[in-house]
Amino acid sequence: MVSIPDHSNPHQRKSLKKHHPYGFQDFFEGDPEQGTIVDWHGSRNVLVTEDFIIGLMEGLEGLGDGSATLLMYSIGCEWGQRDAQVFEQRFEQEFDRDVRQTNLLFLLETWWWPFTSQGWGRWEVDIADRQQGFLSINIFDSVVARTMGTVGKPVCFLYAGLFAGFFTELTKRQLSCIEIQCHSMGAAHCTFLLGAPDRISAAASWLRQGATAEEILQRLRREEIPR
Amino acid sequence: MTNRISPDPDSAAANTQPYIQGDLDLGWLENHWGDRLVALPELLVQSMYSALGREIGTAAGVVLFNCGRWWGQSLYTQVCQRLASSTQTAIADLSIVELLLFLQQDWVAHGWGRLDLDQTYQPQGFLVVKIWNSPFANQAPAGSFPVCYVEAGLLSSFFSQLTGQELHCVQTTCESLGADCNRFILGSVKRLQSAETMVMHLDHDAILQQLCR
Repeated sequence: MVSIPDHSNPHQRKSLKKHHPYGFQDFFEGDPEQGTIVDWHGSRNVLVTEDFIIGLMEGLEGLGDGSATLLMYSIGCEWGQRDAQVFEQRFEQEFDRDVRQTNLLFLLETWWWPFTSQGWGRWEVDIADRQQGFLSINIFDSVVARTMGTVGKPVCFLYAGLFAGFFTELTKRQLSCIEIQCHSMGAAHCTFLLGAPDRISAAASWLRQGATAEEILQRLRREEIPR
Repeated sequence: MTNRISPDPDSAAANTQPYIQGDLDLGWLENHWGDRLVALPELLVQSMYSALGREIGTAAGVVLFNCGRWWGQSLYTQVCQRLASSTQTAIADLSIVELLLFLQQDWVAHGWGRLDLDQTYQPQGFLVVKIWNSPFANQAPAGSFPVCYVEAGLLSSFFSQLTGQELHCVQTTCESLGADCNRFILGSVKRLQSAETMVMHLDHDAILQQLCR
């Protein structure tokens, strides 16, 4: 059950007039009496250091069954699905327009800005390949990768799940996401590939074989999908 | 573009030394001491409980407790560093009241709710911590057990390092179950073992009475 923030509060009402509330002081409102922080959209937020993210990974790895990355992806997926439902309502209320009849780049930028305010890093989305059935997303300063340091493998499963869940819910089609390049592998930024499960499965296979992000993108553009 | 806020607008120190600031060019948040922060929105907290509960059942509580323990270890180190840099004071030299004030400011500034300590049972070897408006209890699904695993883990490792003893932490009341606040009992691992099961059928005061017998 997804809880929809209460739109009747004064902080929320302001958001119906202003479309760029992303500076820290606009976006967050703290209540020192209650010890709470609420964002522009009326949602409660809790600020944590990077160590919380490491702690969550450590806690999951403590299960000892190798499922930690999958569980991070699952958390991200659920978060993305819930967020898409709330975002859709919020967008339509704020812009008086159906999300499916909105310029895609505008829609996606509107979606990501709150995450930028919340410290999840900047993003860059490339929709040029969507006719080929995939799109790529770059995240700069992923909080997960920055936290984990250089470990030689992708670590941003929470982000991958978030994108998969959000776009699945938004498009009403089952989509998957994989990180094909990560700051934790020494790259300048993290790159995610989002698409139909067969394409992402092929990309995962090429990645395991040592293909670079660019090689994977080229192969997808040539439609080298195993059938 | 940088924006700053401080938790207490009346505090002169806070006005000159903003507590938390955001940088939209980077998509970063950081606190006054340069630690990178990230805001967990309520939908993420809900998803942590829901996805972990679905995938691993009751082990979710252990995972979140261990997450809190890891986080608490770092928090303790950070608090020590902050005290050393801002007041040239070692944490061991602080009175419990001074430490409480420091922690209360951190709790409020990060949106972790409000915190208080109850030292009534300290002579018997137990410390009670009370947290109001927990962001975790607030978002957890309604169940039949206390659910502030993250805070319990955080408190156990923070106070273990503070006291130099291996302490455990058991939550006895929870806002998710309709309590007025979340109560945690801290004590030695051995003496708190029995409290884990008492939570199922005894209230907070009765548990403390049993433990102090």
